[in-house]
Amino acid sequence: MSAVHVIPSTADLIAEVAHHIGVVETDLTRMLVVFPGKRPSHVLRKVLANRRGSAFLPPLVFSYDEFIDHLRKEHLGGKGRDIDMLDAASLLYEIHSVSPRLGGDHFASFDRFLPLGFRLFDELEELLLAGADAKHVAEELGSLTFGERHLLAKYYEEFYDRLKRNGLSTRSTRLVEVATRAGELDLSRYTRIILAGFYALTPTDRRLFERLAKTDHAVMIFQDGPGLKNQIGWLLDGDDSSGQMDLFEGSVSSEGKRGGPRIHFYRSTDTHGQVFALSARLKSILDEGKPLDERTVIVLPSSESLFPVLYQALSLFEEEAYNISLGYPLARTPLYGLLGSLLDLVAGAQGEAVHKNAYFRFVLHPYIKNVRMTGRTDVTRVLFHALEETLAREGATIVELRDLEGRHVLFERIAAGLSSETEPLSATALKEHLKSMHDRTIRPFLKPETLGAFAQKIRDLVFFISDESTAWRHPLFARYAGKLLEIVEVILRSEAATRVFDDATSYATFLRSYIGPQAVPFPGTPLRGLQVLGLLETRSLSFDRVFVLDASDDILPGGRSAGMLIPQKLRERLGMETHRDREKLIEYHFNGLIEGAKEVHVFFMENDSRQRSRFIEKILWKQTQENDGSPMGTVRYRIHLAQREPQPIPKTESVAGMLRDFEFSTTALDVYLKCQIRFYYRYILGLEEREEVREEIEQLDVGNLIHRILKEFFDPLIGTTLKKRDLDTAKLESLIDAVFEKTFGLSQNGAVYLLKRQTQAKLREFLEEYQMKIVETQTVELLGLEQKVSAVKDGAHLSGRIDRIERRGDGKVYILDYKIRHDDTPYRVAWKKFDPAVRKTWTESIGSLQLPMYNLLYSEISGEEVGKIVPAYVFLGRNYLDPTIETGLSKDGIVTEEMQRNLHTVILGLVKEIQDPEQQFLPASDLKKECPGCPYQVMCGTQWAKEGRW
Amino acid sequence: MTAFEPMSSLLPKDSEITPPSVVVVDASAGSGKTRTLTRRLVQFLLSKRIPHNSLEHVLAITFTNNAAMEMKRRVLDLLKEAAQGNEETLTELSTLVSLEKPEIRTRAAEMLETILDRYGEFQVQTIDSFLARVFKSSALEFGFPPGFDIVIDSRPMLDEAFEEFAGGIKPGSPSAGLLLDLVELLVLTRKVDARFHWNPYRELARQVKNLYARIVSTAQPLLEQNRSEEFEANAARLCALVEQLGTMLDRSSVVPHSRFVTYRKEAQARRFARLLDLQFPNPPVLKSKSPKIELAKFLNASASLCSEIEALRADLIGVHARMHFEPYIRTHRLLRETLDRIKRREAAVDLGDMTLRLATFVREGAVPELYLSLGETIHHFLIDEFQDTSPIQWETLKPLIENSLGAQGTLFVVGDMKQSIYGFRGADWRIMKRLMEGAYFPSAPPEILNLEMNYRSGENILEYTRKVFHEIVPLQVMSGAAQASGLASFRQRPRPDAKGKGLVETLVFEGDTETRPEREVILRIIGDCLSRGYRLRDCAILTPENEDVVKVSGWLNEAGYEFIPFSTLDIRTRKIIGELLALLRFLDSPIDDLSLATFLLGDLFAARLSNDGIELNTEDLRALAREKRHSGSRRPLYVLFREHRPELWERYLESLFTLTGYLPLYDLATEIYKRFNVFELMPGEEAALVKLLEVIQHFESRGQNSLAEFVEFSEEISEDSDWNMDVPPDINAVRVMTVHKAKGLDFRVVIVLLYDVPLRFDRVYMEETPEGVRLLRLVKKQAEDNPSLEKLLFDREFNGTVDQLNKLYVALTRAKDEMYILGVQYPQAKQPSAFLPREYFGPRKKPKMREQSEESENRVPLLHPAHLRREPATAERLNLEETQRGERIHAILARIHVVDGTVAETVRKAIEEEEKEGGPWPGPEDLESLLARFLSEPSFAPFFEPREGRTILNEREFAASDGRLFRMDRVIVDTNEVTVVDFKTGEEQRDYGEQVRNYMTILSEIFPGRTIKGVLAYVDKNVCRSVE
Repeated sequence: MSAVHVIPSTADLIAEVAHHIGVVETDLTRMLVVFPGKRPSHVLRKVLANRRGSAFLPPLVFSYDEFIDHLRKEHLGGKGRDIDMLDAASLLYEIHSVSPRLGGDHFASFDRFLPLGFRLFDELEELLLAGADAKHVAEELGSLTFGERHLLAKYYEEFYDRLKRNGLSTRSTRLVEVATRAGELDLSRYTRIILAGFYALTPTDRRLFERLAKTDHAVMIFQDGPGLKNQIGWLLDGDDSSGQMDLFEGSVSSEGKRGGPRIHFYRSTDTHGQVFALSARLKSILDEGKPLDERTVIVLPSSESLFPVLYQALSLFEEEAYNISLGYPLARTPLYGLLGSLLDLVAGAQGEAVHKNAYFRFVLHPYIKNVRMTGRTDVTRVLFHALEETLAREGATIVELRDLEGRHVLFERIAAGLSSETEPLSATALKEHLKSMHDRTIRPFLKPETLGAFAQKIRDLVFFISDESTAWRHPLFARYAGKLLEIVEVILRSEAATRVFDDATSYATFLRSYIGPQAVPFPGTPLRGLQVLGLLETRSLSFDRVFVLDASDDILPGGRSAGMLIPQKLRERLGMETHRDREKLIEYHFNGLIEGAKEVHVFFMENDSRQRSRFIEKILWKQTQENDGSPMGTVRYRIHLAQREPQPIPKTESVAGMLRDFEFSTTALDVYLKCQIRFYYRYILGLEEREEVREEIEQLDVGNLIHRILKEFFDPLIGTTLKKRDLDTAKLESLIDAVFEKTFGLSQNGAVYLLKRQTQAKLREFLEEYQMKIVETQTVELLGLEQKVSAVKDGAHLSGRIDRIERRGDGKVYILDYKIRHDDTPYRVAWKKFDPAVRKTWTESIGSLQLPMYNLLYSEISGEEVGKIVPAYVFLGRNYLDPTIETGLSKDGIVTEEMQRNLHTVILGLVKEIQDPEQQFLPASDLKKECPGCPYQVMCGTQWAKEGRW
Repeated sequence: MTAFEPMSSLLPKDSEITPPSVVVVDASAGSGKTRTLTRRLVQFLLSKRIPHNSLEHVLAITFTNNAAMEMKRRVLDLLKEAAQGNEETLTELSTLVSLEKPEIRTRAAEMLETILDRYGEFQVQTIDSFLARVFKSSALEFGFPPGFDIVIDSRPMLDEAFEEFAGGIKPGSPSAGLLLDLVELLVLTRKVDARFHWNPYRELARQVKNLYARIVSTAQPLLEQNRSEEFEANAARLCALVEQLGTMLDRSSVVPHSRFVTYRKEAQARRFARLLDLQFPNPPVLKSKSPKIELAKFLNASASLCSEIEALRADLIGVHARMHFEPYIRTHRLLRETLDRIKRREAAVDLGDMTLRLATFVREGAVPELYLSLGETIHHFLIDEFQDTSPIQWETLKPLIENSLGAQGTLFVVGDMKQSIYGFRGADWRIMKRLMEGAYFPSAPPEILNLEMNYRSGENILEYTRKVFHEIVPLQVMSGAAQASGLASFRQRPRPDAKGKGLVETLVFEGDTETRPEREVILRIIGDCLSRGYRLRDCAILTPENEDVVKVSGWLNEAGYEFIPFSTLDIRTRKIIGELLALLRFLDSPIDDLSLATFLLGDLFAARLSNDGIELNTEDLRALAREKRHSGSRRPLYVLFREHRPELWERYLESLFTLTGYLPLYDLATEIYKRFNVFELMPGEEAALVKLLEVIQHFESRGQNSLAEFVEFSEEISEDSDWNMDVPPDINAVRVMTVHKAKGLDFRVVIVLLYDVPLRFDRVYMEETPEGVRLLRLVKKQAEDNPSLEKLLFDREFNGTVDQLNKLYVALTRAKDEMYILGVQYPQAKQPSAFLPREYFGPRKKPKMREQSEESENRVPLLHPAHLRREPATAERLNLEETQRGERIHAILARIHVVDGTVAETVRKAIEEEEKEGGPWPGPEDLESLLARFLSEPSFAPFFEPREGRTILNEREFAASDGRLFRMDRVIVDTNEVTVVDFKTGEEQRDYGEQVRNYMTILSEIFPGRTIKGVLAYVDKNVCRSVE
């Protein structure tokens, strides 16, 4: 019979194993040691090497899975190809294809089934290890008609039958095979077999352990901890050879260990608070000259904190001074992000037409925009940003790849800018480059093919990025790429490789459900320096100093896994792991880690959605009972919420000089009137917001479009008196067709289609209800369209562009400005508040100086009397149009010559003020009204004034 | 310590609880509602008499995460006290549980252990998380794969649905036809001078997104009303009648009323919406100017026509109100299929939709199945803040509770209808009212408990509130509004030690938007409180709206008081964050001059330069931009900066510029933090700076890590608190918040700022009918002319008034010691200043506070070490194929112990064995001939010969003296010598020798006394090199 030892939780398991190995001879290859995981083998070898002092042939040290594979292969001659979860899901889908099926018809296609298939596979594997037979499963699940879950028994039976028939194996079938055939195992070649550090065993594991327990030269070492007695009770029950049991007794390695460790708690509201507190703690240990070596561990139960720890805490050390062994989700890597953008782009594409927004999201990814061209990295970057800038000015939301590749004028401009004598660059080369980039990135993915072909395309893309961009410069790129290529290999070899998704968007789903969750290993050199490990990686190991981060209940032990196919109660009845078992397991390991240490620092997050771990609660409660208490520190950030007042900007001599020759447009004056600082940044420094590609057609685009149509429509009529027959709606419609085609291309779907319909309807209404009615009542002679006017008045250079000028039957000249809005309020003058002699009232009462400026300019250039010029807006954006959409500067329509002249005074007064070197540029007087949405808010310090927050 | 009333006077003992039972605790602010609920929960957990009371059968529901956590803490604390033998706690619990004290103590200890052991079953949850758990456990039934997400914000999915849907709109497509109809309807339902939608698609999307929450929040089916034809027909008839009347007028000699002339014009222009806006003048004539006989004749003849017009107009107003949202509801219906597909594809559902699906499901009687999937049955429900329940939540919970009551279960709710202020989020206090009236569970008539003792405020404050709501408000508001939620009838007693305590000062004055007199008043009050010993942190200013928080914060800012504006904690309102985001924008797009200028002209850059002893004249930088503008250069600003200040560019920006090419976002951000030493240079901004790192980290956790995407994300307006910095609870600063934010909180000194403004109503009205719910747009001016709408208008006003009064109640019940009410009067309304008693409530002399000791908290020191950048990798290419090839060659060679027979046969056999396990070699290369050639090389032959006493160790592991493990390709152990052969593919490399020498050292320790040889065997080169 084997010996079973239970050592205290404070003991060092590895030392105990080494103790059972005995003298470290040159050749220990006939010793076999099994731990639950892989890491302890390194530590064990180090312990043995220290004892021996020279090289040796080490014992066989296996993780449990390696042990099973070893027994199966080497002792039982087991064969059969191992399958991956993707193979499994593919096989399960064959079973699923026949009705009635799990989840009714919700998951009928392979695309839809896949995420379900992955979970199904996991649960079937658990069922198998639980030792449940199909009949039992059917009985237990029979009542679960909900979601057709009673069918699980059918899937269970058929799946494993198929595996068997096809000679395939899974982790569970291998384990079951070994456990079932354990009687055949001849383990005599080993002088000793040590199984150490096990805790939770499935019924199948137990069968194997039972067999090993009957082997004389086997030793089982368990470490005490919460729930262990329940876990190994079966090993003790029914065994009367208590003489061989060495249970719950002191062990060699526990000698000299004291009671409990000193525990320090640190509370923070977020991840970084923990990390900065960890940094401070590490630093103080370093300052005290204490070692931070492999006997110290930083435990990260969640990989989310890995990079904050790496950059904000481990930066205290040289890279050689620590070792990270932790899986990091691929979903958080830049390569995955790139694939995500690409598949989103593809999901929305129709043929080669792609959404502009999605296109730029992809091509502006650093890995794409830094693709080299003739050895240079700036060319692609400039190319895509220039393309973005150009497209931002165009209305279309969808672009054809071919259209982008045909932008010769743009290529020429870029080529001219980037060429030098030593590095000439041609437009043709740029075109070829862009086409080649499309060919190697986007195009291959546009045609949905098999999953295998899809994987192959990912592989090609990864190599493309690696070969052609600067991505490889990131120290972790090769690791990320390697993992992705590994996954590609698995897909290529999988049963599922020949399947095709019904829906092209499913590739993005596949990326999320299959590729994203896979972990990139960070395998460091395990025996060197400060250790950074996941919680499970600390299994079976002891450390003197332990730092645990993220000890919040949602991470440690983590939330209850919802969405299980087999409900908890039934899992319990079927002998499967329940969430309670899982929590117990985590608690056991956590406890082992703490108990084995001398000094423990536990960091946790507490905020409105997170609470401290139940394990901390337990420790605190235990301490309360023992009248003991751990120090509890709290992370608090420094905070100061005062805001700075926007400061005036002095007018320097050179600015004043520049302003003397400045050409004042109506927009510039309007801006100055509202906020002088804005005027300064916009017109003096010339800083403007960059135009960005948007998904939607913006108001500005619509405005430009309407202006363009009206200009082209009336252009031939300049100098004539408008006749009814001139207002030809058919002509207007064909013009609209032409302008839309020019702006949006031939394919005018979606919002563009609706916009065109609306434009047609509204401009037809404009002709019929507004223009026609005016022409019917008076003569209208068209004098000009989009006319640029400028003049020098009192030494000031003024300018503007007038949408339309006409002389009407009343002998007056009408200066019209089209607005696509409906509301004239922002443009009006509040005459009651307005006092030309009081500067303060100008800003408060004048909506816009546009019309008075036109009036002034036109009278200057034409010599027309001010009183005979009628400036007006034409509000095309009203629900119904008629002649009343034409409104002037006052609500009642009355604007006298005196009023006009007063406004001219304002214009000239403002110009004078702007040119006055003594006057500073002042901030807006009404921050609430003027600041939200202003692009200069951060510079000015009014970034706190946001729309909707007032 | 506050002396609480004995629980026994409030809660029945467990022996007196006879399930099924429904208990409603109706209590006012500060009366210990949560305390009562906690006691009830502990009572249930400890009792031996209450059936089905084990942990997993009891569920306590709250409405916020904070409340859930607070309640858990309270339960744990109470159990700990009992388990430790706290006499007071044991005495209290012994009045609730039929056990002796020692047994209570033991059971409390056991229960504590149980809870800590089975924490996942300790169900104190928010209603949303409970429903999410139920939904997730039944995901399969709803067609969602396991592990799907529940998202709060539905907008991104709606956007996606719209985008996808838009793709299908083409000339002639069915969806285009339907949408064009909707666009026409959109025009029809809108006013004459309303905004025309050039881009109606955008408007439809915007409105549907706005309405979505309402669409999914109604528990009843949403009725679709296709009434546009009816409207058009009736409107046409109205026009015809008006014209008929006009013709009559034309033929008579009476003088038409000018308003009729206008009305007729609008009718002729068929501007239907306008006809509803304009009052129809009845009679349509100017009586004073019309000949009398003619007038009488005309009036007589036209009376019925006029009445018909009036009636038809009134009717049309009703139809119009019901039609307004029609385009959006129908758009939503059109979109539903796409939206569902996206939800399933992305394995995500939004909270609103989830609740709706669940409600529909439980209504269909699926409760037992749900419980089966959930794995446990809830027998006892305890609900906190019950007045905040929404109809859809109630529709989902009700069948579950019904099921429990049918199985000896109980329901215990606590709430205060007077504090129902979340109507805008769908909360409906009338559910609580109906529950109290026994409307829901006939099998268990409700027992109503009232908590009358107030534990929060001094007596004078209670008296003030009583006076407002009992004496003044009922006389001033519409009938019944003060009674509806219990405001006119609540009873509160001060705790014994609060008698005569507390003060309230009301200051009512005329408002002035220019001078803002309230500013001085607030600052004076704070100054006075400070002078009497209060700390800034004792004071809170409550405002009606978010914008007032900004305004008040500005005043405190100017006066130099520290403050925490709870509505504007978004880090993007900090200048430093704006500058950092500008830098990121520039790095993403170097042609973005504005972003670069924003950073270069900002505080951070200046601080860094000054710290480094570099003088920078801002004007120089500005001059650079000016120069660019002046010269009309197209070169980006950064190029000019690089040329003018190369030393600054190289030192501060160049490396960031390069790193942007390959560093992931988080790495880049930490690099920037290091480069500009942000924590050191901007110590006051620590909270904001940390939050930015958190935001970036969370952003990346969504699988997004491109800088461009983050820049876009940072510009989105988010309604959630993702960007909000954490506020230390102990910070000595005045709290400024809206009344909504203040709910559930209390402060020693409260300044309540009230403005007289007319009540504002939501124009979207949900009309409940037996068949379902209709969405209406209620415009007061029109609705007054339609009797059915008038009733709805009244309801809306009534409910709005109740909401406003409740909000006032919440505001007036936050103070513990002192309350200052500032009623700022404006002419457009009289309330709420008219509700405020002008007299002073409190002691003649305002009390002085004793010096207060600061609570000591163990603050953890923080360290922001400089980030150590890893050097760029040097490998230029992924050598995956080469690696795989090398591994395959090694694997084949590992299968060859000796050449037994011909080399070709030996190699073929090894390859066959390898292919059986590792699958066929995918590469095009013929490995067989390569290896055959290699093994045929005479210099290698001796290593593959069988020899007497020779042992071959292929791929064997050896431990070095420091424990490190080495796997050697081939170790040939002969009697007197040991040879290690290391196979290499590819080119020769110098450091390979070092590796073999290390192997030789290991082997010399294992095989002492034997000659150790080392060989490097280059497979591709067919070369063999001895290692010395």
